[in-house]
Amino acid sequence: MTLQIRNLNKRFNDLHVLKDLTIDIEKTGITCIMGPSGCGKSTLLNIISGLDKEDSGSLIGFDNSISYVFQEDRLIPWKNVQENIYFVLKGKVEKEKIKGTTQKYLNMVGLQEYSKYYPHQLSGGMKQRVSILRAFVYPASLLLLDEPFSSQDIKRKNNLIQFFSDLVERENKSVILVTHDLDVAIRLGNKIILLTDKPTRVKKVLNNIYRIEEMEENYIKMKKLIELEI
Amino acid sequence: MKVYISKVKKNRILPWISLIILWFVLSLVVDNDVIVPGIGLTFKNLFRIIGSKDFVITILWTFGRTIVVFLVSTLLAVFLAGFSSVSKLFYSHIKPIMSLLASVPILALILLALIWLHVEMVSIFVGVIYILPLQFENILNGIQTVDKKLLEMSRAYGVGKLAKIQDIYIPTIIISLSSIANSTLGSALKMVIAGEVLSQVRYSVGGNLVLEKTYLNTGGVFAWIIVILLMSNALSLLIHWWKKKSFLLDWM
Repeated sequence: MTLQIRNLNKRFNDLHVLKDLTIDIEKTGITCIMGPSGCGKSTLLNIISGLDKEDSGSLIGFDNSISYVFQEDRLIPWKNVQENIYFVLKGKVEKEKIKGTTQKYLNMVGLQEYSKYYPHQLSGGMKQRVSILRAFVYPASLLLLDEPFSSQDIKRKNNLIQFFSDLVERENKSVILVTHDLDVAIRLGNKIILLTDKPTRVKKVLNNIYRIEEMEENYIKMKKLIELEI
Repeated sequence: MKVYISKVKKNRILPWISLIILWFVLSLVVDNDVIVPGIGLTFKNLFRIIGSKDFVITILWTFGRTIVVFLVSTLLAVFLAGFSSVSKLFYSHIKPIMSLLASVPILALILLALIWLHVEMVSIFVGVIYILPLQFENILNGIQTVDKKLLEMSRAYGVGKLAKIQDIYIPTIIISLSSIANSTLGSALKMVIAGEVLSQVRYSVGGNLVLEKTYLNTGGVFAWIIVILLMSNALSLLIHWWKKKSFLLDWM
């Protein structure tokens, strides 16, 4: 069973942002969504997460348990790493389990020594790691990411991508990752969906052969395929 | 680093020394203890005041009134600003009242308070009326400038209203309150003493100021002013201690 987005429409005043958008999302693995900037990728995530409301269309198979990684870390500055994670778990996970679960994840990714650090004491990359971890600890079957690596430099980006794909491998979650970064899409997406400019529709759906077999040859093939379309 | 710190210290002490020299010269020139009492006389009065049996209780009462003024006006301001931020109608009623309070001369208020209230309540009333509009404005501002991105994040994760108030709104308000807490408490002290001067309530710094003035003992008035300065400094230390104890200094 896939998650289905059917004939989704969204207008902002006169601007037709999403037009009859229809996408299938696999229940496991990463679906990357690429498209020109301003084509409504974030709007799509906001509609899926319930932050925004669609004008028409339907979302089938989605439930309310969704976690979200934003472009910025969006950590609460007066809460330390551990408390920031507690904050989203309150009321969702049994009180006695919150601490244990958080600790388990912090240990798993080697962040345990930072659990009492405040966001201002962490580097930009570290903060985004915590924000990604927060999304994984949260009991959700679907994970949304909106350009999560875009404010990082190349070295940090590579580390974060590794960090992220390790977590995805360990946790069986369905992931929708919005990006304009070709490299991110090829390295992470099992499926890559290319969108048109506004009014936005699906232009092409690609199965990522690089994720089936991580060979340089496949990387170049995928790169060419995508570049042809955009 | 060390050089810099000692420089800062020097810059803080130097103006006080200049002021004392000016006072000393002025008292020599005027040569009249009723108009400008000398340093020696003032300190003689200061020791007399500090040594008197009612000194501690007097100070404590004035401090107590100041703290009551601060707490009452802050609590009231939190409620009023909280309701104002959810109801435009409520805000449209409260706003003119706040600007009225902020613009009425404080002496007029004291006179009204003397007519309406028990003498003990006058200085508290005056203090609250003065502080309330400041705190209201500040808290409302705090609520309105809450980080929208954090609220959106909370919404995406389905965080409840109560948790949002407790973990995002209240800390934001406390942060904006703490930024002016020093000057608010200082103003509260000044207003309380002004109220005490006119209501001449028992066990009060203001009442004692009037007493010294009645005897034309300007040295005593000066000595009480020194006491007030020390009290004001003690309040600053209290705020600093609180900031250190609470979460505020941890993450800044």
